Amino acid sequence: MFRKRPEPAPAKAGVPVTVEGRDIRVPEGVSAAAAVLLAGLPAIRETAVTGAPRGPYCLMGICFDCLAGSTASPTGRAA
Amino acid sequence: MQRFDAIVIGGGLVGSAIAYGLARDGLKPALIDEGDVAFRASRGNFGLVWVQSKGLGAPHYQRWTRLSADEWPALAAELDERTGIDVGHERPGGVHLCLSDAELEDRRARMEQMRAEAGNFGFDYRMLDPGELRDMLPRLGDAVVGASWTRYDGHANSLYLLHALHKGFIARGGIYIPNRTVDYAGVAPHDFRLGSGAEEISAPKIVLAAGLGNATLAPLFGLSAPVRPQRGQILVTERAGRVFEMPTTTVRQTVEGGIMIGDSMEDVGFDTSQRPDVMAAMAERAVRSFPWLAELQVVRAWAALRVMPPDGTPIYDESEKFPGAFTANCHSGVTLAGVHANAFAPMVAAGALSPEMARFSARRFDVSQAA
Amino acid sequence: MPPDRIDFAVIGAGPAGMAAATLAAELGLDTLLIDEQDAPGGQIYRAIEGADDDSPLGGDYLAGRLLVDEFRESVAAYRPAATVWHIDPDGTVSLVSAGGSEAIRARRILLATGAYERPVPIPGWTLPGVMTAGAAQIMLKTGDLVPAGRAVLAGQGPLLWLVAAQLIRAGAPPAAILETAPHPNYHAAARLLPRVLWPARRALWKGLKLIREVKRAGIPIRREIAGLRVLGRDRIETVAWDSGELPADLLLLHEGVIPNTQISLALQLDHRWDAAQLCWRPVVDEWGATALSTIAVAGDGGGIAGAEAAALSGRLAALDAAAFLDRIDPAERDRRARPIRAALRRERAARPLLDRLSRPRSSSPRTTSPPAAARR
Repeated sequence: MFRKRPEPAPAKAGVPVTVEGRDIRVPEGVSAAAAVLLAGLPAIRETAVTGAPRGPYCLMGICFDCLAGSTASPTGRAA
Repeated sequence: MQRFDAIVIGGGLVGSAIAYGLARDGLKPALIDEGDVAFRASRGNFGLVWVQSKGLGAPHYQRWTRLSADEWPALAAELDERTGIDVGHERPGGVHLCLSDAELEDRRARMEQMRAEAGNFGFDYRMLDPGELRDMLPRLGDAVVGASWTRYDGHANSLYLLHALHKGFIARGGIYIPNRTVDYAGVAPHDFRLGSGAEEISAPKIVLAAGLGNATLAPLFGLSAPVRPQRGQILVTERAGRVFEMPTTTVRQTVEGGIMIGDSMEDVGFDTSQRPDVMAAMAERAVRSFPWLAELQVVRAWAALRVMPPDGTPIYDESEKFPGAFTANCHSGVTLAGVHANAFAPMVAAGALSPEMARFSARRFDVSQAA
Repeated sequence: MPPDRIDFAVIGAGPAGMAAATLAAELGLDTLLIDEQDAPGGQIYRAIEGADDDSPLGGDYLAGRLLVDEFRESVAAYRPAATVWHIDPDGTVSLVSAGGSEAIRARRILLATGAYERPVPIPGWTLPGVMTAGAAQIMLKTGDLVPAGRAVLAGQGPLLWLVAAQLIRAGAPPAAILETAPHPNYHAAARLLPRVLWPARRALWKGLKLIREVKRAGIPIRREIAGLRVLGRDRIETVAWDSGELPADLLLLHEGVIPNTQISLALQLDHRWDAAQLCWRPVVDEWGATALSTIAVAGDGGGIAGAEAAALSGRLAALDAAAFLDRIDPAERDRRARPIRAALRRERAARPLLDRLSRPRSSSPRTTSPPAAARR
């Protein structure tokens, strides 16, 4: 759903992360939600009651649609 | 001036259940409601339809609660049929968890007392050990040493209940008058007039169901409702898949998936602010009971003032000085919705409370009478 | 040994919070800035410390560097990566961070939590691939990341055009722009023009330049879009509206920004409905003070006025806090506030026009009155 900005872009190495088994490199300092979007996953979670697929919406910590398991965030949000 | 068969003051869980019962049974009632600025004890309920340990030392209250829990399924079905709203009532039984041997012994003693006081009416309970509890509840913590269980307990969605009662009331021709305070009251036997702003309504019957507001309202009608506020705080977690099949007194899961954690009982007057240390204590006890709860995020927390009669037992009364005036005051507006709609409202419609309601009268607080 | 109570706790490290904390520290207040993110800047200046001089985000974004540098150089204390979850009117702030939960007590607390985008609950809005325009901007700011595939921008307001321009500059032009502003917006805005044209000239000129930049890039633009909805099974596949539809891999929505009033509402402060911006705002005086002497508000959290106005209101709140705590006398507070207020008036001049131009349709759940067209 997102990709690195095309040239001309400064070459920054990026940090290796594994998202759902996929190894990718993400720019240092981006959120976990951004890593999921970069990895091209169809969704970040399923809702508790209906199982509907959800992806990140606001990327600023206000919508709570990016809740992901075992993140380092004390509040559960991936963004 | 608009004339009604009955006026109910207070549109929370108690008032709306009574008003619904009156409308359903053919009266034309008015339900007058202060609005969101009111004390609104209905905000502070836990959604339990709870029987065990209600009425300890007051067998009439124990019986009244049992009767209400037994009326609940019929009320829920009737509301669903009339309004299309499913209030989510479930009655799988309920447990009260104990986290120490001392707590367990105390609980056992209470259950025994309930059974003894029930007499012929009967009170069926069991003390469960952790092994049995693990079958009923998800991943119980090791801190739980046991629990009391009865088959009479259950829970429901109280918000849907309030909505359904209001909707059913209006569907049967009841008139809902919101966002009004009573500016003046003209009070005479079987003749009650209320003025609010430019409007005036009157009826031969009136029911005071204004929760904490009843304390100041009641004397105007020759009644007494010496209720006090009791603050309760609640935590609600993010939604989780359905894991709780059985409600407990302080942890239950709503039908939408959120887990509710209660319940504090604080004597702080009319202060509705929250206290982080109280919230932490509630959360800590819940996590000791179910350690996996620590992984969930709390998404909502609030405090509310509940209605507490001096001895914890409801106050139901009819005015001697002004016949036609009634009052209903209780701590458990959800549990007692069954009898409020199906027993109390018919008594009001008939014009008098049944003789067995005398034990609920506020006259019991009149020390000089007891002497 | 840490003091029992600090003087000034600022919640939020956006322009209002940074400016307030910087000035407060300068005035000698024992100041702490608390923020959820790992670095200062809030949302509008997010990730600014790592930004390049030729960033596609543009000059207004880069201007935030000054505020951040001044904050970093100040003696204000800074607690990043901490979320405030409860505030007591007595001045106790409860925080949670990776280390757990703790409480900090302050004599005055400044809420500078900014704004967020108005939710746009159109049918299908919960499908993966539907995000806010601001979210795309955050991807650019934090990681130089742009949409992959067909991205459609939909909505109205200055941010819509800004994000479109920024994506074009970053080499990832959106596939289309669907503007939802209804015709009555333009008529009503035109009536305001004579009054605000001169004071609002900078904002208007910037807006026109942005629109021109987007048009020159050849992005298809459709106007007066109604009935917007998203179609797809497990993720977005199509964006549809009353008179058309487009395939899309990403939909970026925007219907303006509204104050983040979570904390002010939790404190049960008075709020009033702002009929021009269609949002709730806390009731504050000209210093940002509320009915609670321990709590003040600055920045967009008190009402949308933009980043420059936020910094100015943050400084006013710092002056007021200093006077409240007897570090400066009221006469000095008022004297120092005068040039700030003059600048604030200039910043706010364009607001009525911008608000009117990008007023959401009444079919949005947040509006209360029918559209002007229907009244005729």
